[in-house]
Amino acid sequence: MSKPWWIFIAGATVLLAVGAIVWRENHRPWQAWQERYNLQPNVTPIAIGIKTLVPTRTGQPELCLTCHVGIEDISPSHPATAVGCVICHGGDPLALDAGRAHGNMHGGGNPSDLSVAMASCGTTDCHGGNADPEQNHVTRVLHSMPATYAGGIANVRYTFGAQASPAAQFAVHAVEDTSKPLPPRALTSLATLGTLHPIDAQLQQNCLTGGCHLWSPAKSEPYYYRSTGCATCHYLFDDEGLYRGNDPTIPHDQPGHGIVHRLTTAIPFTQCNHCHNRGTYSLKQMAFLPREDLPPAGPPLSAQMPAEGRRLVEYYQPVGDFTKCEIELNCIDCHTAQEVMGDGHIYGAKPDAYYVQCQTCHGTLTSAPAVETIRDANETAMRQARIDGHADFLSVGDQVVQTARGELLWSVKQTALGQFVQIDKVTGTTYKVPLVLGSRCAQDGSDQSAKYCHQCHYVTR
Amino acid sequence: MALTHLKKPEATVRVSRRDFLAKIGWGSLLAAVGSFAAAFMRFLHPNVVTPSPGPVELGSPEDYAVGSLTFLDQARVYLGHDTRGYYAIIAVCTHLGCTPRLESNELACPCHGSRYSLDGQVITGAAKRPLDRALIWRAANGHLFVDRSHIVEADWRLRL
Repeated sequence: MSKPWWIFIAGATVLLAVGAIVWRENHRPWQAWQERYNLQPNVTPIAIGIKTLVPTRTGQPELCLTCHVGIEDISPSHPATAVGCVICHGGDPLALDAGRAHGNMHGGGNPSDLSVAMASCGTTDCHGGNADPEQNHVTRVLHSMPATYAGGIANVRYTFGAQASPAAQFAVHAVEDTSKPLPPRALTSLATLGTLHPIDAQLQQNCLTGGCHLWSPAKSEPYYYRSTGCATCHYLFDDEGLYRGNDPTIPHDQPGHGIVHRLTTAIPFTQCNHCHNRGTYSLKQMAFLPREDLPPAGPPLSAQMPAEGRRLVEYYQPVGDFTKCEIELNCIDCHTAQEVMGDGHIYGAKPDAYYVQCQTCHGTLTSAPAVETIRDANETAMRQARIDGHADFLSVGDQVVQTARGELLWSVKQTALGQFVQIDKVTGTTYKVPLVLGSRCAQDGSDQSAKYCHQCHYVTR
Repeated sequence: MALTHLKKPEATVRVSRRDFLAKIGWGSLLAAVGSFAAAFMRFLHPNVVTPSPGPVELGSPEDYAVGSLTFLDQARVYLGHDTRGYYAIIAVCTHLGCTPRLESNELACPCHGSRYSLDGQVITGAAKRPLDRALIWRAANGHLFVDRSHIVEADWRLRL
């Protein structure tokens, strides 16, 4: 072939290649995401362009919001302008293609997964390494019963003869507590559950991989959708598991996403019910038996019921009795952060770890609830009130209920007239707390289990 | 004469196929090189520009009366003016970097509840260090400027 043909082919090829590169440069995926964002009905359209965020905490530029335009701030305590994305999520902050940007992220889309939480939420600058152990939330949670599942494992193994006593020996993942002195009933360590006994494999396969603890993902079915790790509780999902926010990159029609990109401490009962009250456990079959009174999908069973009573039908087991406060308040109004997330020590059974009882707020026949005075604006109780969004409820000098383990229940305080009032941490509704003292209650002071109180105090279905 | 006149333009527009292809080829290469050069020039304007915290113009000193403390969102500072002079408190919480707001004679951080006095001292909350102060000066045009990257002592004042 003569020379001009070569020049023509070479020139045209290079030109086409350059043209293709130029076209590709002007049709980047992030542009499509921004165009999709602008098409959403409830947003103010933005100018198409690269969005640079320089969080004050790091001073390092991040381009994540170029694609994730419209994503919600994760919480008022963690605004993107101060914290950015990368401190929690990891990844490459300067990449504009999904593959590179999302490489080396902490826990995929969930940096609070317990396998990575110490590198994201639990770093020494954040929720780990504080002088006050109460503020080392990730360490506490790793030792807590929802993470170790120690009590459940011990009971199953004991029932099947895999261990001689019901005392806990194993956890989902091994944990060790080196702090001294240990409080009563706390354990020094638990080993990772292996396969010493045939039942161990069944337990792992049927229960521990299917959503019974904070390490495990949930069943991908309506009612069960939730995240893992810290986000199990703090990142809210609805029953359909659909994202309803403004980030165009999060699919709005694929279940398995939180309602919005938001962490909260005001956790409603609906979130707890993604795990709890969903069915029963059959030791005989070594299986979880889901409730049969709930439809697998579609509108809630009780959609035609009046609002009053719906919660009882939709969210509570058909068997069992519940008091009015159990179906009016939210779970976190009694089950405090320290009770649910643990005090940092390892326990092997629920009665060893959980301590809030009916008498904590209602007192006994002979005494009113124990109270303690708030002395400092920096106290945990004051901090919790502020984080839960009810700073106005509490002031220094107020007297609040104190649990048997000394934790202050910031949401239950004694008024100047001696009455007790409680604020619902989620809704902000206030309730007068009736006392046993001076009432017609005929309780046996030695039996304070909820089951005992339920004999008189229950709501008729 | 007439023949020459007719033939001449024909001779100037005639291009051999070989030349035509060569010109297209070289033209394409030139266009490609030009595009590469243009793309190269784009590197002078990178996607990421870290904004410099200063200097930022704050306007005329007369705009700030003695006893005032004014939030200036462009500069992200509180500009104060007391009997000793002008000062700039950097509105970046020393705990996590959120912006403290002026609330009932305090600077209150909305993120983790840190509260500072109006001179930037920690009253309560997660912050352990007072708010930083930035250098301010009066430029030739008579206006005040601030540079947040230049930290000064808490008792430093600009006297005019």
